[in-house]
Amino acid sequence: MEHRNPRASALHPSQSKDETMPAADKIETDDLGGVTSALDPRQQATLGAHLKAVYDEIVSQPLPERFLSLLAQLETKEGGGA
Amino acid sequence: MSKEASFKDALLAELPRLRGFAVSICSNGDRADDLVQDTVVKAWTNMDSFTPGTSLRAWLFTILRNTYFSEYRKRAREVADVDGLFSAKLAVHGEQEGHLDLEDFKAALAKLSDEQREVLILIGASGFSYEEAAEICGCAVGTIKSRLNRARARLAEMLDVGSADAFGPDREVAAVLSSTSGTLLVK
Repeated sequence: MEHRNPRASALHPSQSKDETMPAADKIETDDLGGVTSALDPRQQATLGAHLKAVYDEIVSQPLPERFLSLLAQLETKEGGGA
Repeated sequence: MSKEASFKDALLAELPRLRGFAVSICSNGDRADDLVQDTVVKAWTNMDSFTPGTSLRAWLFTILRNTYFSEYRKRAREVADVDGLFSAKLAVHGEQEGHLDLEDFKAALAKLSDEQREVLILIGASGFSYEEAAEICGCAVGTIKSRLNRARARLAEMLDVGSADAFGPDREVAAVLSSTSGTLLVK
């Protein structure tokens, strides 16, 4: 009986052949690991508000048409082929 | 609904956030959409390796960042456009934010390393937990935390928000900040 963390296996499927698929990538973990130079809560809140604003700005843009056609194309190929 | 159709719908629902992440780490609008496109194709091709019931968003973000770091980063460096960065994609509704000096913020963000920007967006903007971010980035939670702290500290420094130490005693700065909540500028 396998005990696998479903989340972990979802993110890091072991049989992934494509190295860019979850699992393969290892970026350096040379950081000190310690929590250093924490900002005070107000500074963090200020930075957080800006980060959200930057991110939300992109997220709220209309989705470029290319993605809709790409998905339609993938779906057709899949449905027809298999 | 077929499996493909429901996967497609779920994927579609995640695309805006996936783009947000792509533009954020890639700092180049056109390349960001290529990155999203590559991610979508990989996700589709590897649909079977996604475990239903787990977070599709985290899975997609993982694919995207792995693709970026293994295939895009070098190319991006070649076309380094440090100042043009976010501006093209993001110049649109800056005014809506009013007091938020977003352009300065974006310029500062662009000067961080990819890893720092990534962790800021994952945790500060996308709402992932430290654990999820660690899983997405394939590193330890402690790494995420220290990277995040350094990224915040650098941003604060560049934007003159000041370090916690420098900030503490400066009553005027504190007063300005609290009276204009959300404003960055404390020159």
